[in-house]
Amino acid sequence: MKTRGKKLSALLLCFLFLILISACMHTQKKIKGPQDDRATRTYGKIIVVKAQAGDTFSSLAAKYLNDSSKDWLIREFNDMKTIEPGKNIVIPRKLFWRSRLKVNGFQTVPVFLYHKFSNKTSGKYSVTQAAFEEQMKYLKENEYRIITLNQFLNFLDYNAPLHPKSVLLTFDDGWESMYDIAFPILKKYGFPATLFVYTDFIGKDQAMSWDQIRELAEYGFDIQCHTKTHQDLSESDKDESFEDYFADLEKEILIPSHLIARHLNKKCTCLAYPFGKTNSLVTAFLMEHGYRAGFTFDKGQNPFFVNNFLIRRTSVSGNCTIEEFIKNLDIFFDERESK
Amino acid sequence: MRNKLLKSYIIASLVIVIFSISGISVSSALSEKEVSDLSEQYRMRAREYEEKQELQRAITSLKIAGNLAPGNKEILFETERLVKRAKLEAKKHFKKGLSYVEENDLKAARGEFITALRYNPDFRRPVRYLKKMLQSETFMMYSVEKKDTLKTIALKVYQDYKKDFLIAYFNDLDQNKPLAPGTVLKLPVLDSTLVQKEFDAEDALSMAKFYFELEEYDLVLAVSKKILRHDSSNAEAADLVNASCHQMGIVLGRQGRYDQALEILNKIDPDYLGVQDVINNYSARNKVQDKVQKKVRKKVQDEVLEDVLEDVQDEVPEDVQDEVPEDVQDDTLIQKPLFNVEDAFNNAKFYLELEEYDKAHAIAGEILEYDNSNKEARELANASLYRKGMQLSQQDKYYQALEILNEITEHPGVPETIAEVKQTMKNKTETHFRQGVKYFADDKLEEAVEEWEKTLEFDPEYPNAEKEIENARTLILYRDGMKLSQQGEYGQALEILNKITEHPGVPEAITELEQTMKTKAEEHYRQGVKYFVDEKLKEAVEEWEKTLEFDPEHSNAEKEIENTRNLIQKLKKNNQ
Repeated sequence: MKTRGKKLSALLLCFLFLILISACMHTQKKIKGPQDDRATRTYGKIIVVKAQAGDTFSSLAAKYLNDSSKDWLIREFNDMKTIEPGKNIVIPRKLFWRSRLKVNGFQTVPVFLYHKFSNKTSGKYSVTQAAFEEQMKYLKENEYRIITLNQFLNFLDYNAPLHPKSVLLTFDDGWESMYDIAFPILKKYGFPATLFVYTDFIGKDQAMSWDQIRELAEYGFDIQCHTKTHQDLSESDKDESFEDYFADLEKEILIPSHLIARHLNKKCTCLAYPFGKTNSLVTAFLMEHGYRAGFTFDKGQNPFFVNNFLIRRTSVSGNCTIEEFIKNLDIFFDERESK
Repeated sequence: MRNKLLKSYIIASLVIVIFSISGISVSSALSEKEVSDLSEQYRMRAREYEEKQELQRAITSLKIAGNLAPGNKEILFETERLVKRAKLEAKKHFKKGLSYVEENDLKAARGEFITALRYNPDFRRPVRYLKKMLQSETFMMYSVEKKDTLKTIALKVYQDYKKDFLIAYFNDLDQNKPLAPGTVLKLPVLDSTLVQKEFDAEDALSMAKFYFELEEYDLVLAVSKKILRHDSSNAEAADLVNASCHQMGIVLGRQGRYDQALEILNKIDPDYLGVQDVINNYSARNKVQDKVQKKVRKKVQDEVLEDVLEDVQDEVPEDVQDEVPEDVQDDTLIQKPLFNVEDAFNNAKFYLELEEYDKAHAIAGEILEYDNSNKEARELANASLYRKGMQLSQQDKYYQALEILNEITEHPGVPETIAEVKQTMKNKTETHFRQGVKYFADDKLEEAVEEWEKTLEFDPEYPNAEKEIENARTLILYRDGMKLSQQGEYGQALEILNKITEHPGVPEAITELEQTMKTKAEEHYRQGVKYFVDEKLKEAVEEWEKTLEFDPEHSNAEKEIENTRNLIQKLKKNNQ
């Protein structure tokens, strides 16, 4: 009996020992990185993942790059259009390349400009709800990426690659109709937006209040400067001396940014010129005060090397059809065509 | 039974081990073969891209292949080769782009720069050029020169001196502080719409007046004429034209360039005040000058020059001599024509403003030598003396100030100033002298001397100061000497005490010291002898050297030292 007991305990010990060994070996060979049940392995700067059913580029991006909006990076990196389960997907752990230059041309970012909205009537600066919905729907369904102001500025600084179909949406003045009509639609599609408000307008009859602006800022929209009184910065009045003109310039730019900073606790880095007009002194002034970009009404495309203080925008009027809207989605400049 | 049990244990453990190992293989994504296949796949892709000239994609694919097969040297080699090639291509296209920029073919340049970036996206220079090409300059750099002020720079760059505040704004400058030459300023480039406005007569007039103050008469003329083109009846502008021509004429006249002066002066409205007189004056001088110059050219010697001058004096018409306007010097004809009083006077005035009073005074002196009756030169000489005197007085150098002020010849206000300076001097000297006395009483001898020396600085003739200083100095020496002797430093003490010329107790102290030293010398000598007897030769020499310190003329010590040293040498040799 005794010997059997001894043997049993010996067996038990061996068993435990083996379990320990196997456990150690098991953990040793496990991957560094996200622990999961799937088959993944790290090789230096890349991760190789065996695709499973139900995987999408966004889900993989969310899992391995902590950002679902980087899905396009994985797609481009692997040069594939869809995910086939069982295939090996290579995911770069760090930025592998920054090239957004294709063989025959380069990327450009269209910037759209809206003013006010209405339920039924349309005018030069007023877009109907239906039209806006149609435009946003088109963008969503055709896989355009609406970017934030920061992403746009980084693009201008040649700092990081952008999704090849990137678009920036801007809204000038601070009309209440933007809050009432455009905001819900943007929320629905999950699109970010950039607003340029002129501070003398805020709180007036057809304008948003500071509370509404604050709400938009907290939601994640960018609020930037559009001067104080919306006067033309590029020219001084006939009777005005140069000194007075300069003093006016200071007032029109520094006061609103101060107000915005006070209400929203954020610093202004961009200005949209009233009437789209500017001159070299305004640029000098903005540069002196640390601004990063200035937006005009000029038509044209925005490659990364565009003049920061002459960003081109397409103004969407109430009469703009969906076809015209699509035509203005200039996301690429073909060099061969231009020759 | 046992064997059976053992077998089952073995089987069980084997199973467990197998499971663990398989667990490993289950958790790894790819087998070794799959990995190498994938690596090869990317390598192939890289070659495809390379053929399509898409070098960046090729490099990326190769890098992935390299990551999947880290030890593969071939892949590393290929990657390096590709990267090098890409960089070279990028550089090539960049340089091409630069040459297009020089030819001003910006579109072609842009194409080349973008191509360069396709090859090497991390190449920053083409990025900078691309940005620069589409942006006109926002700022221009300006290096401050010697006499620049914000106003003159604004005038130069913007043709508007009132834009000086703009320069200050963009460079964080205080408009009231002068500019340091060599500072680099950044000036915003202004569009033509901001610079050239509709012609504003008021603006232009103030600009013209500003130029007039700067004595830039050419510019005054240019602006004033512009005003007159817009409005020929503008009286102020017409006035400015006349005034500047007048000034320009006079400046030329002072330089002796009468031809040019007359050219300009003849353009002035003949009714303009005083112009006709100046014209006449200059015409006459011009003629005379021509004659003089001709004669001088013929005969160069001094004596001949005097003859020439005599002739000349006779030829100057009387009415010209009398009607010379105030702002023109009248000495040039009568005296040697080669010394230009006007010039010298201006130089002297210039030096006076620069606070170079000695130079101003020297030049004024020259003028006075030339013409003792020249009132202005005398005024200037006095002024330079006066200002120099005041300068010295402000520097607390009252004595020297008074010396200079006393040279001033009869000038109102000077005696009072001199009296004032004297009084200040007196006050200062008294204060210091009394302070010296206080220090002396407190036995602070050095401080006392300092104060008394200051007294003498202010007034070298202050009575008693010198005596007190000497007295104190003697006391200091005595005190130091006695201290040293107490410390046993007899030699140094004697040195010091011997410096004292007259002081009670010093001769006795010296005698005492000398005696002490002799005694000490003997002591050391005897000790040396003792050491020698004990055969401690080295120590003996040391003692005798000390003897000599105390009594350098101790005859025996010297001899003993020599002998003993020789002995030491001999012993050394014997021992070896």
